[in-house]
Amino acid sequence: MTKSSLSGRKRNPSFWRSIGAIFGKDLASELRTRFAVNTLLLFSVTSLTIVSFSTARTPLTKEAQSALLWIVIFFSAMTGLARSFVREEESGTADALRLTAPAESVFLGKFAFNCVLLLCVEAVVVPLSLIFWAVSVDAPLFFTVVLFAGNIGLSAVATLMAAIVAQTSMQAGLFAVLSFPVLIPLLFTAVRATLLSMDAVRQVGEIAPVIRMLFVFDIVMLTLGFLLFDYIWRDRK
Amino acid sequence: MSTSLTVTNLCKQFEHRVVLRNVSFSVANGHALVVTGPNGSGKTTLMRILSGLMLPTSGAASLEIDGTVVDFDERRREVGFVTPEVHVYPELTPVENLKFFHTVRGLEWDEAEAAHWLRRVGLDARRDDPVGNFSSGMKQRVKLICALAHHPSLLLLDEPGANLDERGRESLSGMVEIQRKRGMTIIATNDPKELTLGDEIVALRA
Repeated sequence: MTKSSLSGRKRNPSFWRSIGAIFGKDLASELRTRFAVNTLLLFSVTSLTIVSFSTARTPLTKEAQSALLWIVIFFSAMTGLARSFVREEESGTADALRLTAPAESVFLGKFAFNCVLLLCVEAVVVPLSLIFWAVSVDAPLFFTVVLFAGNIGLSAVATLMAAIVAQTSMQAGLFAVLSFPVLIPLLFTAVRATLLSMDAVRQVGEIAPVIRMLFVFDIVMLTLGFLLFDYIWRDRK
Repeated sequence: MSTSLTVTNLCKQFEHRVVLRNVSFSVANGHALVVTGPNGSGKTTLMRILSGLMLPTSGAASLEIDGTVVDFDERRREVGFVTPEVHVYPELTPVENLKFFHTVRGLEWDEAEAAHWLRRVGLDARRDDPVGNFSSGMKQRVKLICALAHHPSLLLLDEPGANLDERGRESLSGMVEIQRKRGMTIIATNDPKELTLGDEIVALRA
């Protein structure tokens, strides 16, 4: 029996509007406080600058460039992506959200917000790394697709893990500890795909399977998150 | 629409500490029940169980609407809950908070109704200020309208008068009266002024 039939109130059945509301609420909060984006950018630009200065006299190999790029993106994500859930628990709004929103829309709304947050970081980090490390990307389209696919996977895992650690007392430490093992396949594949997209000699046939692997990881993590999130989110003990 | 809440032998135990033991009562449509008891007697725990945020160790609290028992997910949307532990978003304005909770509940947003609620609690002049800048009494008023604006079948008020001035308390009494026409109200309090808001009193023991 639906709410509309129960109470006579008009109910909008759109699941997507609920997701949009959660995404919009997080975005509005972030634009007003700028806490997560500042933390993420501070960490990523600082680490990028340190690496650039310390390797100024020694040109980095393409392997090192692609690995360092993903190290910076990974640790930036670990620094700031847990905020969306931690802030809900700290400010006492998590229960209000549990009482009102379907768990699946909370997961997808928060995931979309984390994706956008990480995209903002990548929009700064990637051009800077290309300049500082003198990276030449021979297949820019593949490079962009790899970043996009990596972003989705990182955000999906971060959203799921953030919901778990937000209810504990050791949030920052646990977040990276729990996320890293799950993200190892994604990070290895993303580093490999980035390296391939930097090299003009490689053929599409060699890059495509690696990118497909990234998207498979994304789909698996998003599906798992969608199915498991309700059990994580409901704190009913 | 006929609504009722039946609580039968409700028990809640946290490890070895028993907080609620065999609590039973029922509330019918149009009625308000006051739950009292000393600190630690389990008033807030009872309210969290009734809201659907917490499961009882044993017993049941079944909400019926037109003869149909409402399941857990549906109950969460049928309930309006005000408690000192649950807050609204401090970065958002009262209108943004109302709109957000309305939208995630899947309800149509009505600007005129939002304006009506803000006028009712005396916040229409501060409608564009972030809630984080409000006094604790004004935040409590925002929480009250966010719990009531979706026309819940069951309104749960845990220490609702906390931080409210005389005008706020008058608004609170008015809201309980509005809720009588729509459904049920359960108020957990030890405040003598709020005891008069209910038709019946259930006393919990520590």
